[in-house]
Amino acid sequence: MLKICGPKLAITGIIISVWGLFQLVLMGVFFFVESPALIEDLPMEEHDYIQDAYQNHGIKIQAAYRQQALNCWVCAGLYALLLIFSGQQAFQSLRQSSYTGM
Amino acid sequence: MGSLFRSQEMALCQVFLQSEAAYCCTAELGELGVAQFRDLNRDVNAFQRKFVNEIRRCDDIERILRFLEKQCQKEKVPILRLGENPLTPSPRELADLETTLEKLELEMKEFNTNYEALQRNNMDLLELKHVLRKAQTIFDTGEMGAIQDSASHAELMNSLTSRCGPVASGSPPREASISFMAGTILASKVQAFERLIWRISRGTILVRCSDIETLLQDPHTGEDVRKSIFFAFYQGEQLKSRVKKVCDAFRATVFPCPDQPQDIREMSIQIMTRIEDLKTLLGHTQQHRQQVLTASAKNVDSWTVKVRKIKAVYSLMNCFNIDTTQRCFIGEAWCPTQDLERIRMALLRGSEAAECSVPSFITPLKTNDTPPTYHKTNKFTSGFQAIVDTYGVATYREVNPAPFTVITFPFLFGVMFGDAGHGLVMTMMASVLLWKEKVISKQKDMGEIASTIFGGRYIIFLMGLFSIYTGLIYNDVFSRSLNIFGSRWSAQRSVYNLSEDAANNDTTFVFPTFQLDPTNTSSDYIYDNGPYPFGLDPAWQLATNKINFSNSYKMKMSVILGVIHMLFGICLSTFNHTYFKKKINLICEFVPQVIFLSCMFGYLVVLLFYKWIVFTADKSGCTPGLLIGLINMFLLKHQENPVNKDGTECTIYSFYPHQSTVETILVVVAVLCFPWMLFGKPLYNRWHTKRAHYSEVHNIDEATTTESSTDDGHAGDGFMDVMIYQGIHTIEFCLGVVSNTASYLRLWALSLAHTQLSEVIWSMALARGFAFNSILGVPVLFCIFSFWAIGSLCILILMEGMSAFLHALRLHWVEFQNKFYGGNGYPFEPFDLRQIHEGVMPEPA
Repeated sequence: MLKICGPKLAITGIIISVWGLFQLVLMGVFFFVESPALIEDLPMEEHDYIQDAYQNHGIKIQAAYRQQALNCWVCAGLYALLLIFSGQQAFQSLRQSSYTGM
Repeated sequence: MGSLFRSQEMALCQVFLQSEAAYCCTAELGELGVAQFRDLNRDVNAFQRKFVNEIRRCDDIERILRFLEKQCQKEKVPILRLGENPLTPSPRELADLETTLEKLELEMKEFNTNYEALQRNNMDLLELKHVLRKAQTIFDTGEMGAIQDSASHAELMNSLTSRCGPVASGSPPREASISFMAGTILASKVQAFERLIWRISRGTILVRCSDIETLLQDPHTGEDVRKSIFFAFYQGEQLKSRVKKVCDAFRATVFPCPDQPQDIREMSIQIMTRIEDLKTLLGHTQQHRQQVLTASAKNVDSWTVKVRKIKAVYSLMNCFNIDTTQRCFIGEAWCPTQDLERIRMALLRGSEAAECSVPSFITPLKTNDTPPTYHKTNKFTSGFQAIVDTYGVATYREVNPAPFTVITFPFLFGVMFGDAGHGLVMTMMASVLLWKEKVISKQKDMGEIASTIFGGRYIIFLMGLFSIYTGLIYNDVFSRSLNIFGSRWSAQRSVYNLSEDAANNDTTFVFPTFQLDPTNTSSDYIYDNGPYPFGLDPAWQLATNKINFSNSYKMKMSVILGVIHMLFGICLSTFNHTYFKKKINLICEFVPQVIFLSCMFGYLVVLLFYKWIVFTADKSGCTPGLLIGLINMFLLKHQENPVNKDGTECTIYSFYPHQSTVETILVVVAVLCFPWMLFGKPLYNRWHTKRAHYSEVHNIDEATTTESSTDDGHAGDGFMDVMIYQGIHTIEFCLGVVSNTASYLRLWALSLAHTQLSEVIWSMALARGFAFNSILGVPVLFCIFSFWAIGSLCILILMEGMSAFLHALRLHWVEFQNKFYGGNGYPFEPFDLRQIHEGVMPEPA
């Protein structure tokens, strides 16, 4: 596999992807469980909340939460791919540098 | 087993070394690394010391090693870095090393000069090849013939006769054939060359120049130069000599070039074969050179370390006194009393290695000098000891704040940093550093910042752990709260009729803020199972008055932590007073200091806890203001409580029985502490010296005279000095009590800043990632998350982390340590040869 990025960029990639994987999985879980701490992050209007809560038994709110949960999990999957890619790049740089004896 | 509480006990010792065993014993002591030697020949010039020759030899060897390293770097031969530490070699090995390295140096120098000569030869041959090629073109096209037969010939003849005629009347113009000179010259000088030849020959010499297309390499400098070939056609010996002179002046190389085509071709073939031979020769030389360099590269590092060790040992031996009558060296060293046995064993080993029958030994001396301060640390505590020592090295045998700093420093950092998510990231990064400890510590030249961070890896790890703890208490994970145990708040009663407003379909309706009521009469706060068990209730995250509440809580917590920290510092000073046998300090400094601090801010802390426990939400309108109360206490202003509408007393001024009496007593006691601190010690000293004088007059053999004079530190008129010193000290302490307590409020301030920054970064960055209510939000969230993570890392973890680190450090250095720390010692720097491996040269004190 050819080397696209140097060792420093690869290690940054590893750190961010591990962090992203961990945090996005957990945030997906929190969105799915409809935690009120994340309610301000949902893309809904204020009036929508009240109408939905009192008239439609909160269906739209639940749909919004679930959509964001899905987004988070898909992103977590993307970060897992980025982790594999960065890890492989870092491994390449490590191997190359040990060949030249630096 | 050394303890970290105080610095180690040191003893000044004299070391007697037999002359034959001196080198080996010093080497053994160096490997042990527990003795700090004094320079006994301080006033001796560097050139007059005993071992100056050996040191000069070591310097020569180092020079050769540097030359070899440079050669290796030039040829890009990798130098192996050593893993282990080679032992100090014996003096015989030094001689061997010298001969090997001198031979290597000669070889390398010979190689280099030969290579250069070969390359110059090569270049000459290449130039000649080009010249011949050009000559071939000239002669093949018959240009030469044209020159010979053309009218220009006659022109030349005419011009010659016209100019040389009157002068050389005797010699008839000869039918001499035209000869030529061929050579190469730097392309930049061609114009000047042509012009000069034209001038000196008055136009009778014809010069033809053409550039060589390929760039040639100058062997000496290694740069590429552009050269041109020139052909100068002339007639007669005079012109030839003139052309020669000009060529010499312009440093042009002249080549013997035949004018017949066959000769040219023969010569070309010869040249080609010579060039080929040279090329193979050059290749072989280069290969051989590489081999020699690779072989020496394996040993360069170990040789460097060995030479440095030898040099260090000889430099130390220069510091010894020579006792020529007994043929032994005498050295003076500070060493810990615990390690005397180890030193004796090392001396035995050294004597055995030198096969010397007379043993070397070490004896302690009695002295009045202050010994150096030596703390025995391991890899965990050395970081904390370093940050304490940065402010000031502890006085000899003083209480060491470092073991307490191990916990209090990361704790105060955590109070200021207070975010479990950022703490987790910090802990993970530090644990990677700890996991790869051995690998990273072998790397040399890491750069200053990286090596500082690596040196503090245990500190960072603990800081992260404590941040997670305080983050869970503040219930703050990347600015969001976690609901682990179930929030106790719920909006059961509807203040407004929300279902009605919902039916209105009014799109401009904005949710009003209403207050959840924690009193008994409402159902908003459910505490059947007790309050939220650990940390802040997560409902506070959604409250608009979260900052109002947390400000009050964090400020009070800062004052409480500050008072506890300072009281602890004052209590540590008792250990110093009892150890240095200054009982007077216990009575005249420790006791009044504790009473003063307790009466003012200890009382405030007690009141804080009282207010937290006694006053519930029902009485929230009638709670006392504690700070105003404290100020009123010192103004001795005691006000009456107003009465409520329903007849009960509104306890905003006096909230416990006999409060005014208690407060008056506290104020009086605190004020009395001031003259106690100011006059206690000077008066006691004066009384003591008077009694000593009195007893001296009446009883001459009284031994207490010496005791009192050293106790006072000053002579008879020292009373004023002691008064002034004590006055400064007292005022500093009393003012410091107020200012230092207020200084601890930075714990609140930084924690607030961190929370707000974290909140802003979330709402400005990460919240935008959730703005799409469809699957299109995925790429947006992907990019924004990385952006948010890097922003969090740089701003919150690095910048805020450094800020909290600095402030926690300042709190320790100033507010905590000025209660008990002297910090007037000097560090113990033993003669340690193991440091050479890391590139540090030990210097004898």
